[in-house]
Amino acid sequence: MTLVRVGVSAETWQEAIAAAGGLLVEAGHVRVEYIDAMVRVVEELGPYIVLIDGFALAHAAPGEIVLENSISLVVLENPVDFGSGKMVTCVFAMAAKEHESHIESLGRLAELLSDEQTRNTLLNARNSAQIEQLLSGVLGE
Amino acid sequence: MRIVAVCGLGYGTSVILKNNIEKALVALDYEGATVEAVGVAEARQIGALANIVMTTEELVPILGGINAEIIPIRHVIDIDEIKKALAKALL
Repeated sequence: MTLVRVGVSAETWQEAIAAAGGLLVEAGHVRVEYIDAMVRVVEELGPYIVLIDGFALAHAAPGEIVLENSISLVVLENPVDFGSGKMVTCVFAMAAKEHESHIESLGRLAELLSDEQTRNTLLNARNSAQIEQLLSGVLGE
Repeated sequence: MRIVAVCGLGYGTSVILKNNIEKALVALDYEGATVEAVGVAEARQIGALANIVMTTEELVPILGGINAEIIPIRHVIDIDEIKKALAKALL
Protein backbone atom coordinates (compact mmCIF):
# COMPACT_ATOMS: atom_id res chain seq x y z
CA MET A 1 0.00 0.00 0.00
CA THR A 2 1.34 3.43 -0.89
CA LEU A 3 -1.03 5.47 1.22
CA VAL A 4 1.10 5.19 4.36
CA ARG A 5 4.54 6.69 4.79
CA VAL A 6 6.57 6.55 7.99
CA GLY A 7 9.57 8.67 9.02
CA VAL A 8 8.56 11.68 6.93
CA SER A 9 10.42 14.90 7.70
CA ALA A 10 8.46 18.14 7.79
CA GLU A 11 9.37 21.47 9.37
CA THR A 12 5.92 23.06 9.29
CA TRP A 13 2.29 21.95 9.39
CA GLN A 14 1.96 23.05 5.75
CA GLU A 15 4.75 20.67 4.75
CA ALA A 16 3.14 17.91 6.81
CA ILE A 17 -0.21 18.36 5.05
CA ALA A 18 1.57 18.49 1.68
CA ALA A 19 3.29 15.18 2.46
CA ALA A 20 0.02 13.46 3.39
CA GLY A 21 -1.79 15.03 0.44
CA GLY A 22 1.10 14.09 -1.83
CA LEU A 23 0.36 10.42 -1.22
CA LEU A 24 -3.21 10.99 -2.46
CA VAL A 25 -1.90 12.83 -5.52
CA GLU A 26 0.63 10.07 -6.31
CA ALA A 27 -2.11 7.47 -6.02
CA GLY A 28 -4.24 9.47 -8.47
CA HIS A 29 -7.00 10.00 -5.89
CA VAL A 30 -7.01 13.80 -5.92
CA ARG A 31 -5.76 16.57 -8.17
CA VAL A 32 -2.75 18.47 -6.89
CA GLU A 33 -4.90 21.56 -6.09
CA TYR A 34 -6.46 19.56 -3.28
CA ILE A 35 -3.28 20.04 -1.19
CA ASP A 36 -3.62 23.84 -1.22
CA ALA A 37 -7.31 23.52 -0.45
CA MET A 38 -6.48 21.49 2.69
CA VAL A 39 -3.90 24.07 3.78
CA ARG A 40 -6.40 26.92 3.30
CA VAL A 41 -8.92 25.26 5.63
CA VAL A 42 -6.41 25.43 8.50
CA GLU A 43 -5.30 28.95 7.58
CA GLU A 44 -8.90 30.14 7.69
CA LEU A 45 -10.28 28.17 10.64
CA GLY A 46 -7.28 27.22 12.79
CA PRO A 47 -6.00 23.87 14.03
CA TYR A 48 -9.44 22.41 14.74
CA ILE A 49 -8.46 19.43 12.57
CA VAL A 50 -6.28 18.15 15.44
CA LEU A 51 -8.53 15.35 16.69
CA ILE A 52 -6.51 14.45 19.77
CA ASP A 53 -2.91 15.13 20.85
CA GLY A 54 -0.61 13.98 18.08
CA PHE A 55 -3.24 13.37 15.37
CA ALA A 56 -4.62 15.65 12.66
CA LEU A 57 -7.21 14.94 9.98
CA ALA A 58 -6.49 17.26 7.06
CA HIS A 59 -9.24 17.61 4.47
CA ALA A 60 -10.91 20.07 2.15
CA ALA A 61 -14.44 20.26 0.76
CA PRO A 62 -15.71 17.46 -1.49
CA GLY A 63 -15.72 18.37 -5.15
CA GLU A 64 -14.37 17.78 -8.61
CA ILE A 65 -10.73 17.91 -7.51
CA VAL A 66 -11.38 14.63 -5.68
CA LEU A 67 -11.22 11.56 -7.94
CA GLU A 68 -11.52 8.74 -5.37
CA ASN A 69 -12.68 8.53 -1.77
CA SER A 70 -9.47 8.03 0.11
CA ILE A 71 -7.51 8.53 3.32
CA SER A 72 -3.71 8.60 3.58
CA LEU A 73 -1.36 8.80 6.57
CA VAL A 74 2.12 10.16 7.14
CA VAL A 75 3.95 9.57 10.41
CA LEU A 76 6.40 12.43 10.92
CA GLU A 77 9.93 11.97 12.16
CA ASN A 78 9.43 14.90 14.53
CA PRO A 79 6.12 16.48 15.59
CA VAL A 80 5.15 19.86 14.12
CA ASP A 81 3.06 22.63 15.68
CA PHE A 82 -0.34 22.96 13.98
CA GLY A 83 -1.02 26.21 15.85
CA SER A 84 -1.75 27.05 19.49
CA GLY A 85 0.98 24.58 20.47
CA LYS A 86 -0.98 21.60 19.15
CA MET A 87 1.82 19.18 18.28
CA VAL A 88 1.07 16.57 15.63
CA THR A 89 3.01 13.47 14.58
CA CYS A 90 0.39 11.56 12.56
CA VAL A 91 -1.28 13.45 9.72
CA PHE A 92 -4.19 11.85 7.88
CA ALA A 93 -5.35 13.39 4.61
CA MET A 94 -8.96 12.64 3.71
CA ALA A 95 -10.69 13.18 0.39
CA ALA A 96 -14.34 12.53 -0.38
CA LYS A 97 -16.15 12.81 -3.69
CA GLU A 98 -19.50 13.54 -2.14
CA HIS A 99 -20.73 14.67 1.20
CA GLU A 100 -21.87 11.31 2.54
CA SER A 101 -19.61 8.84 0.76
CA HIS A 102 -16.80 8.65 3.31
CA ILE A 103 -18.70 8.41 6.57
CA GLU A 104 -18.15 4.72 7.18
CA SER A 105 -14.36 4.85 6.91
CA LEU A 106 -14.29 8.02 8.98
CA GLY A 107 -16.24 6.22 11.71
CA ARG A 108 -13.74 3.37 11.67
CA LEU A 109 -10.87 5.85 11.89
CA ALA A 110 -12.47 7.56 14.89
CA GLU A 111 -12.95 4.19 16.56
CA LEU A 112 -9.28 3.29 16.00
CA LEU A 113 -8.02 6.58 17.37
CA SER A 114 -10.18 6.38 20.48
CA ASP A 115 -7.94 3.52 21.67
CA GLU A 116 -4.83 4.75 23.46
CA GLN A 117 -2.76 1.67 22.69
CA THR A 118 -3.51 2.03 18.98
CA ARG A 119 -2.53 5.68 19.12
CA ASN A 120 0.80 4.77 20.70
CA THR A 121 1.45 2.14 18.04
CA LEU A 122 0.84 4.73 15.31
CA LEU A 123 2.90 7.45 17.01
CA ASN A 124 5.88 5.12 17.45
CA ALA A 125 5.64 3.25 14.15
CA ARG A 126 9.03 2.61 12.53
CA ASN A 127 7.83 1.19 9.22
CA SER A 128 4.62 1.24 7.26
CA ALA A 129 4.16 -2.55 7.32
CA GLN A 130 3.67 -2.27 11.08
CA ILE A 131 0.61 -0.11 10.74
CA GLU A 132 -0.89 -1.09 7.39
CA GLN A 133 -2.82 -3.96 8.91
CA LEU A 134 -4.06 -1.77 11.72
CA LEU A 135 -5.46 0.66 9.17
CA SER A 136 -7.01 -1.79 6.75
CA GLY A 137 -10.60 -0.80 6.13
CA VAL A 138 -9.79 2.85 6.82
CA LEU A 139 -7.39 3.95 4.09
CA GLY A 140 -8.22 3.96 0.39
CA GLU A 141 -6.78 1.29 -1.88
CA MET B 1 -33.54 18.06 21.98
CA ARG B 2 -31.60 19.08 18.90
CA ILE B 3 -27.81 18.89 19.06
CA VAL B 4 -25.64 20.27 16.28
CA ALA B 5 -21.98 19.23 15.87
CA VAL B 6 -20.00 21.90 14.05
CA CYS B 7 -16.66 21.89 12.26
CA GLY B 8 -15.21 23.98 9.46
CA LEU B 9 -16.74 22.15 6.52
CA GLY B 10 -19.29 19.84 8.10
CA TYR B 11 -17.90 16.61 6.80
CA GLY B 12 -14.70 15.67 8.66
CA THR B 13 -14.23 16.59 12.28
CA SER B 14 -17.93 17.20 12.89
CA VAL B 15 -18.85 13.75 11.54
CA ILE B 16 -16.51 12.18 14.10
CA LEU B 17 -17.95 14.48 16.77
CA LYS B 18 -21.52 13.51 15.79
CA ASN B 19 -20.68 9.78 16.00
CA ASN B 20 -19.19 10.25 19.43
CA ILE B 21 -22.06 12.43 20.68
CA GLU B 22 -24.44 9.63 19.66
CA LYS B 23 -22.32 7.08 21.55
CA ALA B 24 -22.17 9.36 24.58
CA LEU B 25 -25.99 9.79 24.54
CA VAL B 26 -26.41 6.00 24.53
CA ALA B 27 -23.95 5.70 27.43
CA LEU B 28 -25.96 8.35 29.33
CA ASP B 29 -29.22 6.55 28.53
CA TYR B 30 -30.56 9.76 27.01
CA GLU B 31 -33.18 9.21 24.33
CA GLY B 32 -34.97 11.58 22.01
CA ALA B 33 -32.08 13.76 20.89
CA THR B 34 -31.22 14.32 17.23
CA VAL B 35 -27.63 15.03 16.23
CA GLU B 36 -26.50 16.67 13.00
CA ALA B 37 -23.04 17.43 11.62
CA VAL B 38 -22.72 20.78 9.83
CA GLY B 39 -20.08 23.28 8.72
CA VAL B 40 -19.58 26.79 10.07
CA ALA B 41 -21.64 28.47 7.36
CA GLU B 42 -24.64 26.20 7.91
CA ALA B 43 -24.26 26.49 11.68
CA ARG B 44 -24.74 30.24 11.43
CA GLN B 45 -28.07 29.57 9.71
CA ILE B 46 -29.48 26.74 11.82
CA GLY B 47 -27.51 27.08 15.07
CA ALA B 48 -30.19 29.18 16.72
CA LEU B 49 -32.73 26.41 16.10
CA ALA B 50 -30.62 23.96 18.09
CA ASN B 51 -30.65 23.50 21.85
CA ILE B 52 -26.97 22.64 22.03
CA VAL B 53 -24.12 23.40 19.65
CA MET B 54 -20.96 21.36 20.21
CA THR B 55 -17.74 22.30 18.45
CA THR B 56 -13.98 22.35 18.82
CA GLU B 57 -12.40 25.06 20.98
CA GLU B 58 -10.93 26.91 18.00
CA LEU B 59 -14.30 27.45 16.36
CA VAL B 60 -16.13 28.86 19.40
CA PRO B 61 -15.22 32.51 18.68
CA ILE B 62 -16.41 32.15 15.09
CA LEU B 63 -19.79 30.89 16.33
CA GLY B 64 -20.07 33.55 19.03
CA GLY B 65 -23.24 35.12 17.64
CA ILE B 66 -25.35 31.97 17.75
CA ASN B 67 -28.18 31.95 20.24
CA ALA B 68 -27.80 28.44 21.64
CA GLU B 69 -25.78 26.79 24.37
CA ILE B 70 -22.32 26.40 22.84
CA ILE B 71 -20.17 23.62 24.32
CA PRO B 72 -16.49 23.57 23.35
CA ILE B 73 -14.83 20.17 23.03
CA ARG B 74 -11.07 19.81 23.25
CA HIS B 75 -10.74 16.36 21.68
CA VAL B 76 -13.55 15.14 19.43
CA ILE B 77 -12.13 11.60 19.70
CA ASP B 78 -12.53 11.58 23.49
CA ILE B 79 -15.96 10.10 24.26
CA ASP B 80 -15.45 10.57 28.01
CA GLU B 81 -14.95 14.31 27.59
CA ILE B 82 -18.08 14.52 25.43
CA LYS B 83 -20.05 12.42 27.89
CA LYS B 84 -19.12 14.67 30.81
CA ALA B 85 -20.00 17.81 28.87
CA LEU B 86 -23.37 16.38 27.80
CA ALA B 87 -24.18 15.12 31.28
CA LYS B 88 -23.65 18.62 32.62
CA ALA B 89 -25.87 20.17 29.95
CA LEU B 90 -28.64 17.57 29.83
CA LEU B 91 -29.03 15.86 33.18
